[in-house]
Amino acid sequence: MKKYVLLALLGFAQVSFAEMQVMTEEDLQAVDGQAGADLSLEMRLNQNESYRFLDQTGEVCEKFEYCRWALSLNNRNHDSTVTGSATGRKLWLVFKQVQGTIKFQEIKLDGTDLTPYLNDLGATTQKAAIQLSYDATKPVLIRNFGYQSLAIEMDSVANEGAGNTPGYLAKASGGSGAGAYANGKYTAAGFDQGREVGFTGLNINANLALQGTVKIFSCDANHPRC
Amino acid sequence: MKNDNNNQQQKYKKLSLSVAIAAIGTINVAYALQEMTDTEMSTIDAQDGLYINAEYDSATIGRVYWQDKAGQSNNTETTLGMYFDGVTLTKTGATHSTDTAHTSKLHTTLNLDIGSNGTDTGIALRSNTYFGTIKANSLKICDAAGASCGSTYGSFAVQSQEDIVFNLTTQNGLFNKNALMNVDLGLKNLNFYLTQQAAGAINNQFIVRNFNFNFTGKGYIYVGDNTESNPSYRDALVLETRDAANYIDLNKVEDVDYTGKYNAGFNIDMVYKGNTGTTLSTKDPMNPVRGVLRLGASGRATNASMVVKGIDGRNATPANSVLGAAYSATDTAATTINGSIVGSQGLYMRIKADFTKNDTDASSATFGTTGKGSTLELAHGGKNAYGVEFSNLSPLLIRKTIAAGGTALNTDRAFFDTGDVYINLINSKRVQLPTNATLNSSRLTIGSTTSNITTNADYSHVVHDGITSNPNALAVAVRGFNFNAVARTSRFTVSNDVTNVADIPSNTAENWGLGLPFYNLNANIITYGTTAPDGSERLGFALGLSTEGRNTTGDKTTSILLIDGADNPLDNNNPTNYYVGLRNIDMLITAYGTLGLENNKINLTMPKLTIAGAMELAGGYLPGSRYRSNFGTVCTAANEAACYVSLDNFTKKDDVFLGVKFKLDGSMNLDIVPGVDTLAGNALSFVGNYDLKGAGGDYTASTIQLVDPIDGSIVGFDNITGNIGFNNKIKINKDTIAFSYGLTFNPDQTQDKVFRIKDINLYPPTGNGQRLGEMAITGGRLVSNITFKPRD
Repeated sequence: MKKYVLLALLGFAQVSFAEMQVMTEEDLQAVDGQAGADLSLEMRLNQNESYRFLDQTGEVCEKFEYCRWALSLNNRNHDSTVTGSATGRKLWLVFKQVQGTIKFQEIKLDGTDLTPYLNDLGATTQKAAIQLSYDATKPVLIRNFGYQSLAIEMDSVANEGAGNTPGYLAKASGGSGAGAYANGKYTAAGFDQGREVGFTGLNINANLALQGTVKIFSCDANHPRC
Repeated sequence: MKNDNNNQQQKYKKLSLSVAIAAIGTINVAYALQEMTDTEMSTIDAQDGLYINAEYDSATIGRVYWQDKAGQSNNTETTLGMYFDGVTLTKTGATHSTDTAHTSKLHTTLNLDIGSNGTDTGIALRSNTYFGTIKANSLKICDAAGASCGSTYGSFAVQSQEDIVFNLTTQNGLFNKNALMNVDLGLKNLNFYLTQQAAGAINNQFIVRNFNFNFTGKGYIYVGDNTESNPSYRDALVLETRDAANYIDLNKVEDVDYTGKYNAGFNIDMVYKGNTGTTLSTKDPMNPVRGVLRLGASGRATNASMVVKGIDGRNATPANSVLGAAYSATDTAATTINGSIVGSQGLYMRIKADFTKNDTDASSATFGTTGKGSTLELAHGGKNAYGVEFSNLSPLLIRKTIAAGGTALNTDRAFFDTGDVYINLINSKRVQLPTNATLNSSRLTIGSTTSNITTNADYSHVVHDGITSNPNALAVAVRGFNFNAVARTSRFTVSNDVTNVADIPSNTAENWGLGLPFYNLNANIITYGTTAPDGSERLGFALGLSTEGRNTTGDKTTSILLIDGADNPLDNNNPTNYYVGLRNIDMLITAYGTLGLENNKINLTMPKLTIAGAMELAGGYLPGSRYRSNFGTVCTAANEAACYVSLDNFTKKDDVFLGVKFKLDGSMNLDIVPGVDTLAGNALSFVGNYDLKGAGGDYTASTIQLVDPIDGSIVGFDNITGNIGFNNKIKINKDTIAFSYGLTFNPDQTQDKVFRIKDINLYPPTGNGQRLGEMAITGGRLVSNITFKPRD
């Protein structure tokens, strides 16, 4: 838009005003008062640069129980006792074979001011914010983001005593028929064969195109919503 | 005055000042003193006055040492000495100097003029020294007799590539408290080598290359007596500018390898060279140096002073002396005055100076001569190195007062002040660091146990973990180092060897800057020579570092800030001063271990490393800035007081997104990997692992907490254990800065080193935390690449 206005003005200049001069690239950049930075951010978990899961020989997830993320809630033991009881074994929600890449190709970082607002004391307040600008032509890349299986596992010994195998390292055997598993992976033929024990998985592949800005500002006590 | 012309050239085995003194004694003083004008005094002509040129092929000195006293845990003092053994001076190589009057021989040339204006007598001294290479075969810390010594640090060498210049002009006597002096000290293009021999007789070197300290100053040099009004000047050697018209300049130095290109006036270029054999060279094409880091400073500073003196640092209660009470290897503390670690003899220094903001400020009429504004440089080391030059150094406050109608900008200058620096030889198992009240009062709940992030015990940190005896060590203690400067303009630079135009950054300074001020930094840096089990020479070390987040008025802070300075049309096109970053950092780092140069890396093996901190993630305007827009009825074009950000903005929570508190305690094995000598490969890498041990034995619990700025409630990731490997890299490119983090959880893949956050606690504003659950990451690798490209 600015370029069109400029071209129109330049057209006028050549007709009637000899003093107006062509603006150089530096001048054009100087017109925009926002100095800032361009960020690019890539986060990659358990994958190589081609978004392949690293489970081959010699790679970080070759031992599959060492690429898991696990969560245990307070006071959740297998016998419904509280955390720390002598008889309870911890229950873990285990995300197995977690992986993923999220790549923000370009985020523009600037400082900016919010629209002035009335704070809790009735005064009009100005606040600075960090502005992150996204461009839909440079989408956020999400590749193979997720986990292979989600399972609820249990420690093998009460209160993490001697000889305990924690739930997050479980590689049990059991089940029967179509649900048979050995050493932590399903054995019966079918979709699940060779996959880790669990009841659901997640895999996201997407290009997330965002357009516009996000303003991040501190929420101090006098802000009406904080 | 007419003097005999002493133009004898003799070879001397030993270089000594007595030669100069003896020569002066033979001058014929038969003529009356003539009046010399200022112009004549500053023009030194070797035909008038005294000229001495002493030349020699080599010199052998043998042993050079420095002694001081150290307190011991048995409440007695002992004398310790730092001994350089096998000191020699030899030629460095072929002709070094462009002055045809000099040969390649080692030499010292002195020109001395004495003149008078009728009432005052001044001297003008010009000296050039070429000392070749000074080498010491070993550096050891020994007992009083110099017989019983610790392990060596390694061998040292200082190599000169051109003359060292020292010029002195006084108006009235020498070391006169009230007479102005002009001093030039040109230490240019010196190379410092530390060589350590690893197992298998492989020599590795840590080199400070092209060291410059090219100093021109106008001020006063004298020895203060014990009636000085400033207590730190008493019985001390004092150098100060004192008057507003006086200044010190660090002028850029021409690169010895690239004519027409310059390096910083104060330049420390740290590089590494592996498997060097016995050579001392930074220009070996078969084994090029690898860059680590380069720091530089140039330009004009004013209001500067330097104090050096001997000091008795003892205290009747030894725990209250600078480094505390001496501890035996079995952790028994001294109790009376002679058990103060620093002892009755030691060295004290303090240096401070104000930075000038830009060339206009440096050339102001007060100084009388044109000068350059202060600049600071941070770059990769060695050749093929990109870097960043910071300028427009200003204090944190944009304005010092706010009133309606618009107020003037803060004209104070940014400054640094090293605080009290004590250098001593010590013998103790532990040393003391001043405590930080903020960290000692930040709560931490684990299970049902409530305590704080740090306790007083964390500030008494260990030097070594032996239990039979303490090594004699060199201790540098810094108390109250302030660096109150924020850089508001930056530009990318490249080292002088890069000539391809496409690789050279644009020369325009950009309106973004980095603020790394720190406030009340205290540090203990202890070193001693040691030997690894495989026989390699290593450096034993202990480090304690603490900073204070901010002072009570909010104008001095420890922060890491990115500052965006585009012009604000409502403020006469002064910069806007948005900032974002980590603010008000209270921090404690303690560590001990050994450092070695084996295997093309700088390796730090630390059995215990504790990092604790409290900081705010914040963004807003710097204090005293003018808002970029008018708003409501309170801020209009008439520049009401409400149009400006309050001066105590850093004491308020208005800008804070999140508070962060953490403590990490465990053992670390860290390799600092120097860069490869190419433009794409010259990066600084940190590779290693941090084993968080959890509470027990010598270690305390690790935690990371996120704090709500409004009411102080906290989400705590407490009781963290596990082994985290890291492979981090920082790379400055032509117009970007890239950070790469590679975290490997549980790299050895064992059950007991799984990364576990054993307690996720939610804390109300006051009171104990309530446990939510726990989290475990059994292993895996998280790689994060962030590229940051500033734009104007």
